[in-house]
Amino acid sequence: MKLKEIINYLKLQNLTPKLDTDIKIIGCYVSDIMSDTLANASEGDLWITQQSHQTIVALASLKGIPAILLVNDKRPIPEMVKKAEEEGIVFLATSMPCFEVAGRLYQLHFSKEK
Amino acid sequence: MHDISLNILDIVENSINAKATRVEIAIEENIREDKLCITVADNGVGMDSRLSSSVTDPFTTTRTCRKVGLGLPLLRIEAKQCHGDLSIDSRPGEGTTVKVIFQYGHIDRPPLGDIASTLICIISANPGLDIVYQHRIDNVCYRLDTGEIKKVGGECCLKEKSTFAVLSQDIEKGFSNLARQRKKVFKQVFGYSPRVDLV
Repeated sequence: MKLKEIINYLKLQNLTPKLDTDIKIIGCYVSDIMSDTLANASEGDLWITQQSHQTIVALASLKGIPAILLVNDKRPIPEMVKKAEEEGIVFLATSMPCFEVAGRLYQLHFSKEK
Repeated sequence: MHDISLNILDIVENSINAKATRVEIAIEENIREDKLCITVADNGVGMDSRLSSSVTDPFTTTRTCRKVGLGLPLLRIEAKQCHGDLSIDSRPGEGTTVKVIFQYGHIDRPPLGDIASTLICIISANPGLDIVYQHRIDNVCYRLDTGEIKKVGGECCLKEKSTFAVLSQDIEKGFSNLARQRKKVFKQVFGYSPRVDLV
């Protein structure tokens, strides 16, 4: 599924509007624990988290994660968004809690697959 | 909790509840030995050994009689996840010292967070409380002692806005010195500059 479709469907806020969102998202991974994401997320995943410190950008870049979605109305510091832009990682935000976002994405994913 | 500054705020709140008049916060970033050490020592009422061994266990105390919240058990979990630990040393009538160690470079270690705002928040909300803050990276050390500020500016100066403008500037200057030292030590230890701002 295309990232721009996900952004439109969930009405996500795009904090890095300069970056291309016409990219393919293979799956999603939900975690707030860095070592867990490092071990279990896959390349091409959209990473849903509420951690908002700089390490998440570095980790996404390391794992080949093309987009990060910050849930629960968490706000990243401006330097983080700048870093994400430099690394080419789309930074998204929403006020929805994690459960709702993940649930709706799961539904969307599977309805598209059928 | 989101970052270490909020954990510090939580521990200091415990100290205030324990009628402390002086709280000493010490942070040591030992990048060479890969350790982050945080110590909060107060001169409050202290705890007996039974209570102090139970405050990090969320189940042994009940909600109604508990004097501290879930902050310490959560902090202990966080520290253990980062190859560290939390210890409490307390004596009735003498005070309590909480010591937390994290592996500095552990990927799950929470960032230090906005310590400057946390300090300003604690100091402005408790003008009667003496706060000593000491932050060390190698031989560079930033120290703030509100007791000394009171000696110079008088008992009531911590209720004035102008004092906080000066204080904020002082903290900012101290922290930028520390940030420079952090980068320098990182480069000495790892041979390259950090890609993101280490906190």
